Amino acid sequence: MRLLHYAGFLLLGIGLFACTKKQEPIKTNLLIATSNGDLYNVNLATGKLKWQILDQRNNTELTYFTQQAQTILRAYSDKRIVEIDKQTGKINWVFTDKVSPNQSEYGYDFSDVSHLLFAQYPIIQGSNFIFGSSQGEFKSVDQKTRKVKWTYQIHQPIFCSPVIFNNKVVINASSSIRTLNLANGKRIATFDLETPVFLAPIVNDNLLYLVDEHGGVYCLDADLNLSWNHKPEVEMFQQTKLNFSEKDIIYGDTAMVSLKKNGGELNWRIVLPHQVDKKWKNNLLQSMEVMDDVIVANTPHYLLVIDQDNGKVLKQKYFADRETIGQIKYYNGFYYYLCSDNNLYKIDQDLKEETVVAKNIKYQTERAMDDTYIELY
Amino acid sequence: MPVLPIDELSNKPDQMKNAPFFKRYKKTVISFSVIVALFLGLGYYLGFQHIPHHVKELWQIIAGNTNNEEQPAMDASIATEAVTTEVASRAPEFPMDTLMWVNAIKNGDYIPDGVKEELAAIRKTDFSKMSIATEKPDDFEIKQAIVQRFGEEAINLLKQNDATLKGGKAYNAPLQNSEKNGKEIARVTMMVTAFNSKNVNLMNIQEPLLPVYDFVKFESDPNTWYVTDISQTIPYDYKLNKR
Repeated sequence: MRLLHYAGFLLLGIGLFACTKKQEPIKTNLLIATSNGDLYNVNLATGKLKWQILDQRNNTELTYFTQQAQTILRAYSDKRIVEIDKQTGKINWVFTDKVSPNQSEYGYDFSDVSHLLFAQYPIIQGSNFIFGSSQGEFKSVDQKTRKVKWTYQIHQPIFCSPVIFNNKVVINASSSIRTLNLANGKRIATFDLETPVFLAPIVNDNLLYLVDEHGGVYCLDADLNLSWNHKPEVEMFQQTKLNFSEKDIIYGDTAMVSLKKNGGELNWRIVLPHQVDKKWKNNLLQSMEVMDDVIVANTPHYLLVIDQDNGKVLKQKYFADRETIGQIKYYNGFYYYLCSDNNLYKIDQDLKEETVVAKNIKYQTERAMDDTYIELY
Repeated sequence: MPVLPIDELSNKPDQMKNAPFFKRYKKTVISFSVIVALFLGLGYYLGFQHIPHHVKELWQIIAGNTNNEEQPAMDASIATEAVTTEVASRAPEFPMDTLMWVNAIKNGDYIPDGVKEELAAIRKTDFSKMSIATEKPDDFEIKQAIVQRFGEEAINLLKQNDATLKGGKAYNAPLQNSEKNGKEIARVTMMVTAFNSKNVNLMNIQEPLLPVYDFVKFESDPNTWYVTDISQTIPYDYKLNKR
């Protein structure tokens, strides 16, 4: 009898604990930015477009966006940063970046460089947004007034977005990684690189990770002291950003590599499946999602489910007549991806049941730097 | 001699044992507290680093002038040794306007702490072996190097003060090759002064601008001067600062 009471109390405790745990709100919408500058908001339940912003300004490279509660801050490669109302798709304001009048004082030559924003989010910190331009300027801008609060000039174009780490701005100056004071943009520390880095640094478990253009990985602390450095035996090119599981780092190009987060030791390396194809990029890794114990990755012609422990391909789907474009995104039992037939698809975790979520998602440009960036809310 | 009962004798130590701790060790506790308070007081008001010095002073007073005649000789030898070592290993310092300070001393003006010592040190420094650099950055290159190093802060200071930077006499400095920065092909130390449009000498205006820098060229980028911290002490550039 007493045992029953204890069991009852235990169940009640579990129940109360479960009640206090906040449930993550159900995501109903998918936002997809494409390499031609378009932005689509798709209702996941109906597959209908809630709204779309067709750019039609000859933008040819993917830029990203950052979500806020009610708005989206979207960067465009043609140096615009735009605030969009999430519900209506209405543009609230447009900020167009201008070269700082102080730039000429530095004596750097940007005369042959078009003024563009490459791969910017932009990042939001407090009431400001921070981004970098091809004119070598990192800027912090007040969201309300759109006034530039500070500028930090480097000598070469900026190819990726800054990140925030330990209340500092981390910038990639290609040949070095630097931290800047968030409030005034003054340089705090510098880490010089042997090989240039073109992707944004990534913060994970209070450490900063970088991947250089040859696939070398660096792990730095908040003061930019090197914890470890991994140099791959086979150099890598055009690799994806670093992805993280609890214990490992996973990235790749035509191969996929898993490293130990603690020390950077190689766990495994696999060559991604390859079909004879005229197109050079046919087994180039596009993106990946790290799930509980598997990695889901896409190359143009494959969707792969890979064992996190040993790199073994557990499941695969081959796309003979179309390619996957850009990012794959997991949500609620389905993987979402755009295909070259301009349809947004979802497929179940067994990679068996594929359905069209939305049609007529445009991404094509003359430069064919096909890519997508997907977020949900 | 009275004979105490056995039980009284045996009770005495017990009474002591039963007395309160403070009562039993009153003197020890008070002495210890006074010493601790003194020690902390000295540490608070003077800094712990001063304590050995004051103890030494105190000891000298207590010991008296036992070796009065020998003392100056010892001091001199220590001083000579110290100065020699100082010149060899002294960290590089900003050039000092010795004429200005000498005049100020003569006039009885206020002289901040350390100035006299610095003057003495400068006088003992041998600048005769320094070689004057023929290759050095021009005023434009100086400004660019400084702006590239200090960014918006330097630009704003120059703009706010309507100032331009001018470089003085440059002295060759030993090259400092490092794995990080690569091979240096030139390194010079020179004073840099800001002048406004009315040719008023603004010195270094304020930090981060400094009165003197090392300018360095690297093998990997032989056409660009970079600015860095000074690696040697150079004489004050009166010609530059008279302009």
